[in-house]
Amino acid sequence: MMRDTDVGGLGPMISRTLSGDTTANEEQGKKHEQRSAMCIADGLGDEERNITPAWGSPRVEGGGTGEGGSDDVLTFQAREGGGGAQRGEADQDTSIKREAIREAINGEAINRELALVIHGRGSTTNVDTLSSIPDEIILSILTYLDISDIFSLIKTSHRLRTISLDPLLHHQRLLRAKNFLSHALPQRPPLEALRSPRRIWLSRRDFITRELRKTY
Amino acid sequence: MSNTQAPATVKKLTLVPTRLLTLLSSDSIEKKVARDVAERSILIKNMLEDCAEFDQAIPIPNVTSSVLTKVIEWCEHHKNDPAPAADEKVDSRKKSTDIDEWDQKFMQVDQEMLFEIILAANYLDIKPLLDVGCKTVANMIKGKSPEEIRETFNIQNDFTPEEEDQIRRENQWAEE
Repeated sequence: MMRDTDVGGLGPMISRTLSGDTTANEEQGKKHEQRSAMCIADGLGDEERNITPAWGSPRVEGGGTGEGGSDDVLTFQAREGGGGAQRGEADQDTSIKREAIREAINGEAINRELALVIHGRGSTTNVDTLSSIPDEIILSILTYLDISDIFSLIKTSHRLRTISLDPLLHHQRLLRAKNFLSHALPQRPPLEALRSPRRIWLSRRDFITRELRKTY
Repeated sequence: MSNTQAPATVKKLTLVPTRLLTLLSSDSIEKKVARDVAERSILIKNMLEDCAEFDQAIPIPNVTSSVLTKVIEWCEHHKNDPAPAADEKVDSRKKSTDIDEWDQKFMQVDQEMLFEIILAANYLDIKPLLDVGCKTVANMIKGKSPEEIRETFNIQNDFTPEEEDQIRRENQWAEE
């Protein structure tokens, strides 16, 4: 089949997929070709021409088809017949196609690497870093956290759940809260001072809210 | 109560012109440190008290050279810090996670390094450095959802769906 010679040294796998796709895509390709021809005739913008077919056999359209030398536009073209006249063009096509496929594969590899980096949040390895830390140090880290953060930790894993539910931790936390409150409560301002309207500074937004509440 | 006499003897020792000690990291790289800097580590301090003369390198088998360099850097910056207040008093107050600006910059390292510094501070018994490390980690946890915490520390979610459901029900009142 013509496809196979087209692909040349691209390896058996790719050539197989290409030849398998050929019959299925041939009709679609024809339609697409017609449409792109129509687009050129209508003078439509690039976005219409840039529609690429499903990943199967991308092909760089040569300058002879009237695309006006825009060789970076990948369009689909099914090969009809197998004329020897197209041989020379085919050789050129093969190298360009090979380039395109290599680029696509490289791009995919880079994307995969990127995804890894993003997922790992800059950490060099994907190892559970907390697992190297003994329980007593994690416990001392937890003494700096509020109850809301401890609740979040309870839901992360079995180990952190066991540590976060340590009775002594919560006993100390309550004791600290008690001591803090007994010290802080007498220091809070009296209720009268808080109620005094002179102390409240009205922003423009507060003022409007207040006015609206009065009217409705 | 031999402990109460200890600070006085230490004071005398530190008044002696600073001598250089040699610390040997786990990957057998030697580091020269002034004695008063090294004595920020209670482990080394006690070791020096027990042995009158120290001519050889002090082996620190649990700490690699890169971590030891960081720890020495911290000790050098904090060598003149006053002794921390008694533990009971510190514990009774509300613990804040405010970190000194220099320490914040010092702790801007990758996670592995951060945890190794914490482990080294724990091993060498440098309480203030351990506290700074713990506060840094606490700040990394603060205000995050369980998923975000898992993502930050690469924690594997080892709960079964049933357990997760149960935990959700347990904590429902806290989320409302």
